[in-house]
Amino acid sequence: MSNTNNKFRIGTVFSFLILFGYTALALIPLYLMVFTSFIKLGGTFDLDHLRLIGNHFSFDNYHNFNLRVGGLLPRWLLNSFIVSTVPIASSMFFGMLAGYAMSKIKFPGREWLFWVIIATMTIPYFVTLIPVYEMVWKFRWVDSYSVLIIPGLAGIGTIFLSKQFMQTIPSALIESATVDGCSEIGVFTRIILPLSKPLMALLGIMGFVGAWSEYFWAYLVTNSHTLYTIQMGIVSIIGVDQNFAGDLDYGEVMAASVLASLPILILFLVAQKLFIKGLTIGAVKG
Amino acid sequence: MYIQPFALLFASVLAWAIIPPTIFYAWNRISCRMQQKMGKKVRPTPEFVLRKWFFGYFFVAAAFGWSTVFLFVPLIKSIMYSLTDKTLSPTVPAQFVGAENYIKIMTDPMWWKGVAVTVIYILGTLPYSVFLCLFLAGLIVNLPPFWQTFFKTALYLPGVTGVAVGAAITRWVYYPGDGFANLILRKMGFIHSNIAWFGDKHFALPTLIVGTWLGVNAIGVIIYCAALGGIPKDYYEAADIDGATPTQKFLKITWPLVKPSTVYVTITGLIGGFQIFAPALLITGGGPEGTTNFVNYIIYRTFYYDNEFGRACAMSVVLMLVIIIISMINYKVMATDVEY
Repeated sequence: MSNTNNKFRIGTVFSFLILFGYTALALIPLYLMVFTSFIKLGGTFDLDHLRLIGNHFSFDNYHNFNLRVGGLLPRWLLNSFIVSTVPIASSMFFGMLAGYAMSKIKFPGREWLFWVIIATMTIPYFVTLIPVYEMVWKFRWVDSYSVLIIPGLAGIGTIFLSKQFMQTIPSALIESATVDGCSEIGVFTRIILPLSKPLMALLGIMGFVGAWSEYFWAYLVTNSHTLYTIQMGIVSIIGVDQNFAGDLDYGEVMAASVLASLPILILFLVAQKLFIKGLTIGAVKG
Repeated sequence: MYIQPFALLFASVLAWAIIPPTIFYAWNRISCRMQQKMGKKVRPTPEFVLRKWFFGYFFVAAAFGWSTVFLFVPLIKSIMYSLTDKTLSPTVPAQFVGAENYIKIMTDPMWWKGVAVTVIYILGTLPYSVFLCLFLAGLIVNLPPFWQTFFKTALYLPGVTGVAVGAAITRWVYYPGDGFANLILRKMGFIHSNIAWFGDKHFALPTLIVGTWLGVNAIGVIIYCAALGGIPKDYYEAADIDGATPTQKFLKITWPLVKPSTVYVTITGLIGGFQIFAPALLITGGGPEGTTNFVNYIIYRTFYYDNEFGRACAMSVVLMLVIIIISMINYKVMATDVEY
């Protein structure tokens, strides 16, 4: 008995060693980001800059970055916030509405629609991007808030999870409400929505994180600096399509990066259980 | 020609809410009437059931109406454009050119180099990522619950920062002058002079691949953790009694039972790998000498810079076919599911 116990302990110690090592490696970039954003680089970078003691930490980089981009940093953060809340909330609502219909209301063509949702999941981004890009030019939406917000207001992306979740809500609840004279819309707002709070949290958080990190659509369709999201701000400052802008002050870039990743890092840390649950849906079995 | 976008969107949503249920309603009524005329005794579908059909479509209308404008129609348009010489310009009408775009792609050495680079990237990252994830997950599941959550969270943390931020950090870590990677490696004595990581054609792609290794595909770790946690402990105990070696236990119990997860991680990795794009756009610009000119970056340049929508659409359709084939293989493999 003591032998197996011993073995188990040694195994655990090794597990911890390897895991801590790998985690440290994986976290080096984040550490470097946070660190660089608080120190004055002054032209050259040195490993001495990474000392915790004897270093001069300041918010200068944040301040200088804001100056460099003409005081637009708060505006960029606000834009990011807008494009990652308004479309997400709206598409979540309509996705749940559709998920409710597809899991609890029997109508012809339902299986077909579900098949369409599954089939479109595998379509590469670029296939639809090119015609949509052409279309927003025709709509005269390019370089406006419309192009950042309206395409995302509804969509079928959230239906799958909603349907899977709402199937677990007992139909007897809905039937008894209908018998008591509740309308279809009443069933949705009074029974389904209150019972779907975990689903809302999951869709909301994953949607927010996804939309907050989105940069490519904004990069394609916005030109005005006032319309940039914070991600787009970073893309513009690191200078896309140049092989390394050498005179870049990486202290400032890292300051912007910290601001761009802080909201989602915090959100992830607060809700990581939910996040991890969302990632494993449909992935472990079948 | 100016299209009123809101009218279009509204019409699309309205069409979804009205047309399908009306057609089904009419069809139901007509077929019922016909059968009654033919002398069959058929009970008409009750009105409250039919009313539900309208509610069903009313509820899905917004989501599907929007998707019609921004997903379904563009998909069809993309396939149509791939047969023309379409550009962004609204005044120049597109000419039908048949399969010319596809022939051009297939005979384009740049395209094939892009395919090769993309495949090398996938082969360099995917197997490593799968086995590393399984290995790390195997270590994690034996730990107490607190540490399980701790390591899962810590490993996933770099992944949530977002692509643009990740690119900015990568550029900083692999700064060609006295950057972090150069300084550390020089201090450890691996290199003697600074390497221009993404500026050197021998280093650009390998650096991206190694960077992906160090980033750890944490989604894979989390999925494997869930899969390994679902394997009943009795299996291993039974194997212990039979005197199985650890290798046998892994090959005969663990590996077959986590197969669905392996398939999932591999397939999502393949699909994601074929769409690898951000490093080319944000870090290397496809260079040096096309060594990081991924397929998606070629598509992007073709439509955004060269304004050749037709050819770009043809390229993306080819990419879509590849991904559909992968998904179908996935479906076939998943169909032989393991029960436990």
